[in-house]
Amino acid sequence: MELMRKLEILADSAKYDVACTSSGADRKGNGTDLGSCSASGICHAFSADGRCISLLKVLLSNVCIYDCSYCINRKSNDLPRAAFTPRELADLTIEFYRRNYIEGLFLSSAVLRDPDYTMEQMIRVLELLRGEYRFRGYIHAKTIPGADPLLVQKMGLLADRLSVNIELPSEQSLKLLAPDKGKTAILRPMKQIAGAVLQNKQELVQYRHAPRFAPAGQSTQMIVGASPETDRHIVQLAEGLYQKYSLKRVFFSAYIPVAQDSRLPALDTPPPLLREHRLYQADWLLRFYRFSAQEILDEDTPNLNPYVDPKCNWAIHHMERFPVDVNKADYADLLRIPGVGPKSAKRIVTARKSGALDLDALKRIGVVLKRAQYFIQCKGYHCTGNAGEQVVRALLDPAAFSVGNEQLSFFAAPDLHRLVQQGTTAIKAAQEVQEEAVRCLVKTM
Amino acid sequence: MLGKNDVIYLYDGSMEGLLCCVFTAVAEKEMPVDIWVEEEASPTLFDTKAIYTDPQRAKRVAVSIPKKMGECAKELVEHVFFTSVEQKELKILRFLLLGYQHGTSVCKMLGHPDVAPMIDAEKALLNETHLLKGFLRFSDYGGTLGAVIGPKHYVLPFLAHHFCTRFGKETFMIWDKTHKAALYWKDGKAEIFDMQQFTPPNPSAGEQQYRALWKRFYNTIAISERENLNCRRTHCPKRYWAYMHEMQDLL
Repeated sequence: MELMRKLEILADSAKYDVACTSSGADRKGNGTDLGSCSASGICHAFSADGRCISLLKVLLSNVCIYDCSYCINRKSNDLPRAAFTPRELADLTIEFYRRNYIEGLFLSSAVLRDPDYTMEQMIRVLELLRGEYRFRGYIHAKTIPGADPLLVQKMGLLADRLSVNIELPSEQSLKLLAPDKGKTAILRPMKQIAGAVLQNKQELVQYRHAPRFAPAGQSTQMIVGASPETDRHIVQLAEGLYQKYSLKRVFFSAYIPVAQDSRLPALDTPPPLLREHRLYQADWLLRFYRFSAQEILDEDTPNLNPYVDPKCNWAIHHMERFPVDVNKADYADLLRIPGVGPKSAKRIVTARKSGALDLDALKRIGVVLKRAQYFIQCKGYHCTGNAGEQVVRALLDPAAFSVGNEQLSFFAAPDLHRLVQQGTTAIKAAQEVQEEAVRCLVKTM
Repeated sequence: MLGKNDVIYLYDGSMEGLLCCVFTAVAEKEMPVDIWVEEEASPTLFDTKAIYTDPQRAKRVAVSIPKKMGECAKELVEHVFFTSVEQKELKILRFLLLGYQHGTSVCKMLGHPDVAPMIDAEKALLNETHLLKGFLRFSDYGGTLGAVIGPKHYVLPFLAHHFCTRFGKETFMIWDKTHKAALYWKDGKAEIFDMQQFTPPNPSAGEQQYRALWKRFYNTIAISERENLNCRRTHCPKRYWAYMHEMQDLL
């Protein structure tokens, strides 16, 4: 098979893997060998779906012995199959890298023969790149559930980041939809990697030239919308993974129907993109805004509100915590203000040392006053307390109601899609749902 | 202010020249309405004053900046000078005048009307530098790598370190079409020089093959059910597309 066709098949089979980030590793060029890594990661292109392309993301092979129902590469799916030889893939990576198309390689694979054999093939590619080609660019490798821990260890010494896909948010769903992959097969390597990363850190303190194990840590991803778990369950699971296995990232992937199967959503179900977006926002609150999962969603609220981002939703339900005095509040409280992010909060802390800040100064610093104005006091300004409906309207996320060319955006909230299916025009549906959302939110204030 | 307030300074476009403008403004207690590069000046109703570039005066100002307001102010001024934001000279002058008043705290006055525009301008430069670390495309011309970029700001000096350390053993050239300058890297030595025109050679069959492979990969990796062209344009503005093999056909 010619290389072009292989690349097409094996990129197509890899495209549902979410992570394409090249962040977390900082490795300077050494003047002789090819490549370097930048801690913040670098995006080299953006595909038509708006996602960043940073790495050459391919499967080594899409021939699979498993039959996971949600997966495009399941054995029962009639799909063209292919496999790279390790040399082919290593050469392609180098030639793409030299042309600055990519930051490095993202290597995953379907399960050929058995997990160990698959891992050995993948390791062969990484050994070629790191050994023979002396490649110093970024490598993200996916470990195969059920593989020998020694192979995981070996892979970790070659890759910058390892990941184990948790696939689905609960054990029941996993049993139902991916009977070949057990919970232990997934969590065991995750635990092993977390332990190895920690141990490696201690070794590096003792002697600087100790071989590095997955310096960019590990990440995971799960499919959202193929199984019945609530957002609360998912956010708590993510929090647990960050705390327990010190994951660098938890990725969510809106389920895109790839199979006709009574256990799964129908083929014409649109991917729950808005829900995925809200989950990422909640994830940011966990990682950068010092929120706990319990604060984002408590016992009485199983799911994130589709119409406002979770931080604004929290603020609406905690009006007693506002106004915050931006000239006095500590960093953690500044972060709670809608319209203030980690960057502007840090700038506020710096800037107020040389004089009290007023609204103009906040605007110049980058605070979004459209939202923040209802939650702050500063020099010469104190927000009025009784602007319920106005506040809610300012915080609503326009993306949830977006209508373009009289058609709903694929991003619009599910209730809008329902109304449109029943015959309401898109514009009218957007108005109706928006008014209803405002009423509901005002009531809860 | 004792001096005139309705004068436009004309300078030679160099950093030294601009520092001399600062010298004059301070010495004459004068605030010009704008500072223009002499060569690009258009007729105006305002009085103009040609500022002579005196290396010694420039040096006095250059030395005073880190001394009075710290290294961070020096770096900020240098960065903003490399941008193409409107009235960058005036922004720098205002910032420095404020700095002479307030000393080292000037870099922390992030909400001040004379500081915030400097921070924004610097951000624009560093953002574009970051984007081009990714969006720049090399072609292999018989072993030497060549790339053309068309940035808004003069990012070449900031890209140099990244590419020279990453591609240590390679020989490459990056031509900045906007600023007519080129970065050349060979045998561990980097050089930036003026270059008015550069026409890339025709790509070899091998080179064309890799471009085609890359394009195929690019088109395959998108998930059609998630197509979001607005999002793509936000992250990768159209002005970069002409220089990216995978995007050129879409223009």
